Amino acid sequence: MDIAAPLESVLGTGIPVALIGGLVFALVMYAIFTAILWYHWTHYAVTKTVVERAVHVYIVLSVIFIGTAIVSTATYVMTL
Amino acid sequence: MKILELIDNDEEILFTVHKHWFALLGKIVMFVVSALAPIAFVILFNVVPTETLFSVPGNQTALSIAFIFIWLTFVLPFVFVVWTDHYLDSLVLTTNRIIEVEQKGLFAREVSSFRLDRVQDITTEITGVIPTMLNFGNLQIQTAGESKEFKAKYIPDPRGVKLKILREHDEAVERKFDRLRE
Repeated sequence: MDIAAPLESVLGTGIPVALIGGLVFALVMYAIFTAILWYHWTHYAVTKTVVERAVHVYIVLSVIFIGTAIVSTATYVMTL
Repeated sequence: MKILELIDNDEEILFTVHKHWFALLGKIVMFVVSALAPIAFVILFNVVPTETLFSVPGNQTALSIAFIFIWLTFVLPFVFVVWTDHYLDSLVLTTNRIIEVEQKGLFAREVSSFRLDRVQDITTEITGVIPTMLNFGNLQIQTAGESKEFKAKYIPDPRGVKLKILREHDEAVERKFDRLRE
């Protein structure tokens, strides 16, 4: 019995749905936790310089990670 | 409660001590492993000849990159949550007081403080090879009266911190006597 054809059909619809769903879930979690972190950094930090440095690192990493995730997801979906 | 709200107008923050980075090491290793897990999965997927069974539709490179970076987007805030939890644990020495802040996760925070002139005894404890080499340990402060005993863990250079607290304690006691003489 050939299992490749039905499996490929499932993967063909399943992968993009899972990928976009995963991206949306990751972005929602990111937004929630970023808001909580922002509150802590602005309210509770005693020494601001270290926190400012951490915020810079966080922003740079966020731009790289989210940007690449969105672009590569869009690229993948468009090549289907 | 913000630390700065606790501080009086005539009070000045002398220094703030955060826990040693070693206290964070175990969690950092855990996050590095979890961040690398999808990369290992993608490499494994490319090594195993799955194309003989089925072919994944679309651009596989874009799929691999998307998978890795969606995962990294998910993990990133958690890394900073752990760092924030670590970083907000602090010991603040002011001209009048010692304030200890203990962040317990994101939604629990314990702030305790006592006056410098109430300090009676400070004990430092550096136990083990790594704490000795990296110079970090515990700091135990006993105060006069019914105040609870105060213990801070993973304090970098505990002997140096002890000396600074004792110096400020002496000055606080002198200021107290000066006020009484007046």
